[in-house]
Amino acid sequence: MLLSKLLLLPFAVASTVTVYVHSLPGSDHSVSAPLPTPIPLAQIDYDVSTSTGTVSSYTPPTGSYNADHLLRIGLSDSKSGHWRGVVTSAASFAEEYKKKFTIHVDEKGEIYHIGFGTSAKGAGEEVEVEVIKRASGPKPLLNKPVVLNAEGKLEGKEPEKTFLQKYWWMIALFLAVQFLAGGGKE
Amino acid sequence: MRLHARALALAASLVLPCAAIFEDDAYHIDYHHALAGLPKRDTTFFQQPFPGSKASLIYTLSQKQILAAVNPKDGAIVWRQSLSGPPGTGMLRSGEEQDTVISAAGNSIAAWSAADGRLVWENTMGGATAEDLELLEQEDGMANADSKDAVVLLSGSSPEVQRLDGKTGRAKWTYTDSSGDTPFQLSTSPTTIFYISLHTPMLGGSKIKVTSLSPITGKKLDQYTLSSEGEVQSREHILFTGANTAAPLLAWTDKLNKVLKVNIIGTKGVSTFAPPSNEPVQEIVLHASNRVTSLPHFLVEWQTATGHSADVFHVDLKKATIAKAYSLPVLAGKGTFTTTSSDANVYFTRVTPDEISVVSSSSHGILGRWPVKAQSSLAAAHPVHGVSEVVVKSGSASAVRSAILYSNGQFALIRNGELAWERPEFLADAVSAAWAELPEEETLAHELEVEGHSNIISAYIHRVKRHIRDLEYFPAWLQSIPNRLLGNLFGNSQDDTIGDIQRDTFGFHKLVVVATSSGRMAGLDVGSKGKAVWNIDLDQVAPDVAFTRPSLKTAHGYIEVKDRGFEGTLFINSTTGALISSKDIEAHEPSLSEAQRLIAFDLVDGELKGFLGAELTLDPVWTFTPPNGEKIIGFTPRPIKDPVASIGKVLGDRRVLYKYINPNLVLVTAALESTRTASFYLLDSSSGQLLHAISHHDVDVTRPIPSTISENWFSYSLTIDSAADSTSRGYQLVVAELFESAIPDDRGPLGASENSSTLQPSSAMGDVAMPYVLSQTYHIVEEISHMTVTQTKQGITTRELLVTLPSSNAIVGIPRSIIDPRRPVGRDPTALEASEGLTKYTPFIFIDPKWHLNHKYEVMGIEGVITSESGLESTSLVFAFGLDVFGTRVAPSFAFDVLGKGFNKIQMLLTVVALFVGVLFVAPLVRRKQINALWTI
Repeated sequence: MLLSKLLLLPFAVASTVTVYVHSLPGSDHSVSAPLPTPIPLAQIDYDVSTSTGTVSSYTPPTGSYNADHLLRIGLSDSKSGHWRGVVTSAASFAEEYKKKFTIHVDEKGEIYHIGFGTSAKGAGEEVEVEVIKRASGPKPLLNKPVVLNAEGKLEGKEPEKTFLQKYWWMIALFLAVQFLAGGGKE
Repeated sequence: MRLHARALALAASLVLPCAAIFEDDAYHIDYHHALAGLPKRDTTFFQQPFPGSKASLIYTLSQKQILAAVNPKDGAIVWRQSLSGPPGTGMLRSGEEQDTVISAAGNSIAAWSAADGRLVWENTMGGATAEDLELLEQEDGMANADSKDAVVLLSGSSPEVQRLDGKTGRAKWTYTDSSGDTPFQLSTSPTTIFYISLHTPMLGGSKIKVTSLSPITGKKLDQYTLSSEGEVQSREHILFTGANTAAPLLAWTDKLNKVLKVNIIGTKGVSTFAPPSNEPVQEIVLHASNRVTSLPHFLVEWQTATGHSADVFHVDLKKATIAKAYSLPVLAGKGTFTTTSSDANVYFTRVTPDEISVVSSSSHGILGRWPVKAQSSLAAAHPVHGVSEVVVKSGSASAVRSAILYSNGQFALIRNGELAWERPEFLADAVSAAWAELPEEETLAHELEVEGHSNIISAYIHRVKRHIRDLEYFPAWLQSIPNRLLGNLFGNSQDDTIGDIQRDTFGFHKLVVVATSSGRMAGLDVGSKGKAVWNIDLDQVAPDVAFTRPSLKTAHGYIEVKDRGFEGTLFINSTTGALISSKDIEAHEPSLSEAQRLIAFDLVDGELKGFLGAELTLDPVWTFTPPNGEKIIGFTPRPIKDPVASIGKVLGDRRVLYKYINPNLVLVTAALESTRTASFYLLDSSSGQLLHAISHHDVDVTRPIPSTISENWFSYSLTIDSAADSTSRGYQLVVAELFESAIPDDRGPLGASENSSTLQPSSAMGDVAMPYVLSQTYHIVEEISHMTVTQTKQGITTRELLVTLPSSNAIVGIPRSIIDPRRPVGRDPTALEASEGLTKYTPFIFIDPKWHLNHKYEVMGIEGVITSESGLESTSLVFAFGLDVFGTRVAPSFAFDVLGKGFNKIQMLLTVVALFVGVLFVAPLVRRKQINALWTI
């Protein structure tokens, strides 16, 4: 058991993913123009077994974007050039926010979607990583079945205590009272 | 107002979940078109349901493989059965003096009791498919007294002819054809069974090969080939194979309908006839009686582009020759002919849009003629095919009734020129539907919009002008008051009397626009029992597009029609059905302010993609792809109009759980067959962020996986595989509710901030976007094929989950409190929880018969259910389409804002009057007493 875990460990830890950022053309821009090439935004190492991840490198997008400018953040498949990801605004990369990358992985630990969010800067790192595993669907919570034994009786029911087992302390009390209280008259 | 809404919400949530249809509402608030689909020419006939019956029923096997018996008196369905097999392939036969009808569909041959539609026997033919079916009317020249045997032609690995026992359906003998020819049809004569196959040589054309079989042993008696290869290129060129006639005929034509060749089956001679030469013939149809005892006469119908005519031919049985007897003149426009036989006589009925006339097969004299009264519903439509019953007394036809399929999809019965009934059978192909507003509401909304966008003074002037204009309706309104009052008092509601579509007080009158797979669109008025207001053919509007699955979207006063095989969009006026040019549309486009930008999303190449702007451009702004090659099988966005009355859920201890309300939620369903997984992803459709992901294992992904989303909850249903390893299998219903935080009285990181954006950064502490998800799973007894949620005007009324149960032909409204994911598990609810209306969790939801919305109706083949608000907050309008059309109104928290039918208004008025009279009498007495009291101190 342990051995197999140890064997699997290297595979589980050594996951790295590069997140790219694309600048989207503004609304006044003609639609037909090609998108600018993606720029690597962050390099993230993550471990599925412990659901943790760290940012190994992070370069915020440079360039003078106005706050409403849309940027898309996502993963790019190196082989097919296929892209998937989310959209956010340029303002999210401002200094005063804490950035968080969310990595969505399936049961096998393969990454399939990425999320990006910001929050107020508190203590801790400027860039955070969260790994979210796909949850297993809720199952109906069944009632416990009534199990009968061969005699048709409920299994595991404790045998009834005898009269003495149940009331010995009463008898003992009675006797004690008799002994302690009864002796004085004679 | 706010307080009022909250009080209402509280009242609504306290009502116990036992809403059911009231007895006096049934059949009044709901309507049902039990449809069969378009009847086919060769499987529709009049027939007595049992020997000796005086009345007959219309039996039909439709394009949708529905076997139905229709009462010719009122057009009601007596019974119907759904058969297997691909659409339009079934066969239906019935013998004379029989109490069964026999159907062949797919691989199943079945006999049905003609009177009540019960299954008498069924014979399933393994992998073979039934190609043709005939009944043996006679055996050795004698009529079979009891159940007539069926002969069936099967195409499997090698074609087979089987004779099936009429009582049990067991095969009596089997003839196997190993020649490799294509099986075509069967035909029978009183002494022989003819098996007709197509022998296709290497070079084009097909030879018709006729094999005679002995009806008793099934042995081959004779075989001959007709050299038809010059004409017959495909099956459609064979026009007719006469069945059960004394002289069975085989007729074929060539590609251009230039020649008609007729062979009397059993002889080798071929007679050749030429169509009328003046115009190219588009279609040739042969009409002959299928009774053994009738005269061997037949009629050939010639349809040209501008008119139609017919020739009647007589067959000489002794000489085995065919001769033309007489012609029926050319009439402009389209028409059709029907055949009726009574005893030995054969009558042909000619049906045109204007006239019905009857001739006898033996002479050209017209026996009867009836002008057809113009009907608005049949306007611009022509008869396609039909069946007739004729009463002939002393040489003249005294009555005729014809059940005719019209080109606009109406199946109508015309009795002596008058329309007796019509059935909107085209609605059986409905694939999508959308609600549309009535024109008055649309114009008012437009006027208000104009007023809202101009400055105060001009808006005020505009409003005054509008009110002055509205005064012109004032006298008419005054005149309608007495009628309305009387109608209200005596309980006969207006619903039945309203002829044209107009707004009613309660907003129950709405339009539903339905589009069918055959490219037809219709507007139905749900306020007057789903009557078709207009009915158009999209092929005429856009002739070069083949519509297969039109999708509809409602906009202001018009409907946008899109289709997969069609690049552009059609705009149809929702109240008249007229085409609107796209130029007139521009003015109505929604105006967005500068800061707003639209993100549209759609499924593109198996991925969900979001795009900037309303158009789908090349570059998506976000993309979602499910992992492991899972296929997205559907996505459900939150309805655009989904008002939420309360942002929180009040708990028993007066604390509040805040709902996660995001207008951009979309629930994506993905499935993977190889691992039997179904996954559900909740996305934010503006940013593409994944909010929640769930996957279920051991799922039978071939079964439907319906889902719906509303307010702050979503629901889906799936089938756990019977081979699954889990502790429980079967149909499951999952409900999940989203909250801002798991802790009551806590609004999560966002707090009470007014605005939040999924694109703009947030300066709140902690993770903003993620909802807290509570979910529970229940077992249900039946599969759900479709689900949706009721809608009301303000969202104060509790919602109800409407599910379609295909196996019991029902639509059921499951109350929200039954599927509340906060039901306590494994313990009884505490007093506080009980005060919220929570009950103990049970793993199984029993579908209460009281929840059925369709009560005694059987709603078959439902493809979808749509809901809409009505004018009343308590009531939601429901419309179901598919094979049947069904509509009703639901009030999940009861009709708290309208008086029920049981309320006696007259009694109330009488009580008021009696009290008033009493006061009049008592007042002087009291006054006197008071005065007396003052004087007697």
